[in-house]
Amino acid sequence: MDMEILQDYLPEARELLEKAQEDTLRLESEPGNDEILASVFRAFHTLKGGAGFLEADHLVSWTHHLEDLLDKLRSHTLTISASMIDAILKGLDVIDDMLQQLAHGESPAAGPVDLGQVIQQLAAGQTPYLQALTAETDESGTDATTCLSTDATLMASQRITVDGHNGIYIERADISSHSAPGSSDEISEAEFEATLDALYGNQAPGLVDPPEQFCPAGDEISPEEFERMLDQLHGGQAPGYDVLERTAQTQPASAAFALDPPASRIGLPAQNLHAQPLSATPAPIANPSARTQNMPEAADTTLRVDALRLDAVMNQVGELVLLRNRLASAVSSLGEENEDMARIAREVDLTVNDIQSTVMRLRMQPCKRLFQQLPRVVRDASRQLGKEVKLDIVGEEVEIDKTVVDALSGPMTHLIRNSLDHGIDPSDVRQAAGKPRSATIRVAAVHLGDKVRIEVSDDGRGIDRQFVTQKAIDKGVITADQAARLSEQEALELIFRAGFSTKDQATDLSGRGVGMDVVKETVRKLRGHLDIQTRLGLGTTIAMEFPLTMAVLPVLYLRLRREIYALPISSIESLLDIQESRIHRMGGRSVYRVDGTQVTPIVDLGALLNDRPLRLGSEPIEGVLTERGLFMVSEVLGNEDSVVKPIDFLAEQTWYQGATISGKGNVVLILDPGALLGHALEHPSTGKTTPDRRGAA
Amino acid sequence: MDVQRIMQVVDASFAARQSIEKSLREIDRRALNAMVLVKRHGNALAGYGVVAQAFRERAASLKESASHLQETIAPLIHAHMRILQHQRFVTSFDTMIQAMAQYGLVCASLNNTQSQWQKIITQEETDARKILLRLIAAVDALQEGIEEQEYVVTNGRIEAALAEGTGAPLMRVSRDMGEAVRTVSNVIRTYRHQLESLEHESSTHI
Amino acid sequence: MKAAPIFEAGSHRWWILYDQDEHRVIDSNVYVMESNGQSLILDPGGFEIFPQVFAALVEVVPPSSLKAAFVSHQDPDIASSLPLWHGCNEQIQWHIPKLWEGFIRHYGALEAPLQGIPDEGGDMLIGGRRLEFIPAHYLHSSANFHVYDPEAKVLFSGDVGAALLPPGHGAWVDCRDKTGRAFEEHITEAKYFHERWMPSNAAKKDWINRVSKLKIDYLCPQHGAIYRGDNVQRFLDWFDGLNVGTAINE
Repeated sequence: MDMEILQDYLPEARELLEKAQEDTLRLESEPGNDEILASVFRAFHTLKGGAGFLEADHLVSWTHHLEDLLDKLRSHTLTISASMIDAILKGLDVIDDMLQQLAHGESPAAGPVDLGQVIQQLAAGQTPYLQALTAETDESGTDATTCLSTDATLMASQRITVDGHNGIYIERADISSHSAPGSSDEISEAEFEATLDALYGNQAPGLVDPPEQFCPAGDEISPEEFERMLDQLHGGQAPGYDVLERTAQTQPASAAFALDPPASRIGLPAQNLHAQPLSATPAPIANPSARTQNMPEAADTTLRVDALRLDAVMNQVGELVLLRNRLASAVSSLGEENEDMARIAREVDLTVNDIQSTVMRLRMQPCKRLFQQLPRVVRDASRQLGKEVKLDIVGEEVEIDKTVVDALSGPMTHLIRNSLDHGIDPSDVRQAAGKPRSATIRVAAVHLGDKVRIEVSDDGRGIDRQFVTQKAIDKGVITADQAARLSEQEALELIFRAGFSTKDQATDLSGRGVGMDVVKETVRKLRGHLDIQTRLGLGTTIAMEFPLTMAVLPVLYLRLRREIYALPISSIESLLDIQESRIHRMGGRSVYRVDGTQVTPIVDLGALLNDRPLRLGSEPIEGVLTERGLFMVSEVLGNEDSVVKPIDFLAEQTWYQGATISGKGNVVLILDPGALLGHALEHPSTGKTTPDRRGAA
Repeated sequence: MDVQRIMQVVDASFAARQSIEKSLREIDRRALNAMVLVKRHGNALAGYGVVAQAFRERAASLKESASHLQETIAPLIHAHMRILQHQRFVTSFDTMIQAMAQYGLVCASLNNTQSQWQKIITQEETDARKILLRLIAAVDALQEGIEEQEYVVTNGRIEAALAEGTGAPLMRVSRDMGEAVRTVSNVIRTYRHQLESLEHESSTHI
Repeated sequence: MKAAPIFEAGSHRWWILYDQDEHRVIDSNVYVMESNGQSLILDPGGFEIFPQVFAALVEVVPPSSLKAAFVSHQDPDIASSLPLWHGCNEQIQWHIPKLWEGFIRHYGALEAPLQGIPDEGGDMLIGGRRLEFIPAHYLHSSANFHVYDPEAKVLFSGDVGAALLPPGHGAWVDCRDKTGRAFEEHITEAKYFHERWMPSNAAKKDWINRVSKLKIDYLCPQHGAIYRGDNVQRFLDWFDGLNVGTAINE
């Protein structure tokens, strides 16, 4: 298996798969939409083509059957049915598994026989409950046995691809059946199909070396052939010639494109053309103009870059940010004597900010990628549970850091399943309650300043706090004593505790190893904030807020006695002067009256981190008001855009999010306000800050 | 000069220093608050961010000016206490001269010593006056800093008005900033009046 | 001179004014206690250092807050500034050992309000807080008192604990060092002073018995540096074992 091709194939295949799934779901409501049918068909077709090149025989045969079914649907030989959609979706899952095996460097195992048979039967126009023919006979069913003519040649041309980009197309054309080279679209899709089938047939093996006696010319485009084609296109002066040659020699890429119908767009080598110099020179963006001049149509406006490279750039920018901070600090200590230095420092500051935000954008992805799996989840689960559910998705275009998109996929699925399983009430119950029979789950992404808020809400039955509290006591998550002290919101948040599940048996739906505690932990690790709101009988909303970017963390430096710490600015509401008269004791806890309406718990960092409460009146104290509590510190020092360095020498459960290097070059621990607050609330005795008569010096 | 007058000024200095320190802390906190607000709104409030940054920087330089003020208050007090101490000598020589005069005695060297001390005191009063003028200059510098800060606040109001659409409570933040600056401005103005009247007294005295 | 906080709890504070700039006279510490806006100055110092003591004092309290002064004994390094303070503020009440009243007036404040402390001691109120006068006669003066603040656990100990430190010294005997080595080093600067200025082993014993009953967090001498934490007990133990009155008592 060619790893380089695999690297290129996998992401593209996943995209195709996602698109196919989305399209298939749309087919449910628009069964006759030819465009969608064609799109799904093309997806399978393209998947098959790539798989063939990777010698993933089982994947080839699996996609072939699906393709076959879609072909019939496309040509209206068959009419789409619910069972077909089920089969296609399940078939997509199998492909997903196979892709994962490929990602692990394994050749995919054969797909499940029964599902394979069902698909084939459907394609054959039979209803699947009829006993199928044997797999062997079926597989030999629809193939054409034609072989490529010996004088088949390659034709290359530049054309607009289906997605509107310029692409180089290389087609294998049988000279005998085509007139002049250069005129496009000579091979009809049917012919091409036939060719492919001839190549792969349903006899998946034998892909690599088709019997030479039948096809003496071979079905591969050799590197030499590919070179020749390019020479024809560019007259031997092809830009990037060397690079291309290297590419062509290291990978027999060309063959893959010959297999890619309707005419193969040089998707992969074109990317390699970009990717190759990218690894050779650090600034690939710097010279594309030159290339586009010579090879205007071949250049693409998007390029796929290995996430690792982006991470590397991000890390380097992080270092640059830290250096910038140090420069700013050093320059400010010079005083006003050096105007030049100050100006340079300011300009560096601005430039680094620009770089930072540009690089940050490189990592941003639309929430669509996160949400596109959800319709399927809702569809499957609602069918399984027999509930009527409508899914509303809002804000697919909102962009967020790739890390968040990647990490949140499991938790999102869990939240949806959880909502379907526990939140959504049965239709008749709903009707009786005067709600529409069909429930609605709303998934929304909203851009809020430096944060993105992702919400999952339903109009279901809401969460019963008493029930939750009782469950938590029964499960030993908390004691009855502790339960009595919980506020309503805290009772609600018990569902995020490890070991809590309101269903005694983990249902099939809440399986998959993700629980609400994992959701919470994931959010925490992403430096996000989780909030739950529920109204009994009316529904539940779980909202997660994430920083727009994981790369740079604006922090507030604060002093606790002799030590300096940092707090993420995203968690801070405002800074306060502590007034003794506003401190009160409530239910064994210290709280602070911020204003007429807001009362918030006090977290005394002195008590928590120094084991010695801050003494109001005896030492300076300032307050940092966060969303959920007031942190008492000695002094607030200032803010800085910082870069988080993970700390791995600490125990798992800590009060720190990581560390950073301040402008003065010191390592500063970044506090995790959520963890500190949680601890302070669980151990109320440590949270007390009262005027103390004991001295301090 | 009247000791009680000096004591009043010393008390005023103490009060002024305390409220300037407190107001400057307040200003700094307001500025930091504004920075936090700006940071929390991403790029939408970049314009206000510049103002908030300027506000902080000005607050830092105000702190610096205020510490110069403190550095000048101490020598002024020191100088006046030295004068008080030396006046003590003059007074005791006076007492002696008068006591001797009762017996019809005149001691030239005693008179001489007494007038020597008087001269020293006069010189010390001139020096103290110079320190006082320096202190007034330091207060003026602080006042100028406050005026610049007021200008920044005005800019902040404009930026806040421009960014009103973002929903961030910038108007309130700007108002708070303005209030903090006004407080310190009033304190300084009052203090300057007190110093001026002392200056007036000391110049007429000399 | 510099001012540094010793104790602070809301409106209740203790300060030390230390490291004087004039080196021709013995280096003295002056203490200030403030409670609810009223303040007390303890052993206000000599005539010569008055201007710098005053300037340092008004860094921490406004002069109008000064309601009382305490004078542990009659020595010039302690009380000769009395007429100047009185000149600044005639309202200051002077708490002095009764035995020394007529001597102290010699510094030139015939009309100053002096309150004599009887030999057995007593107490006073300042800003609503009670301070105790602890008898420490013959240490070294024949009529001599220390001041104890039971709330702040501060003992102003006059000449007891005094050390002759070089200019630029700190306000504290280092107490972070758990081995007590810092104390050992410091006490060498205090040894001769105690041996020679303290006349009586019996007086010393009497004082130690008295003081051992008090809970002391800060032991504040008029010369040298403050003993805090473990160093308080270290000092008491050291003093207990020291032979004093060495001019006749070798």
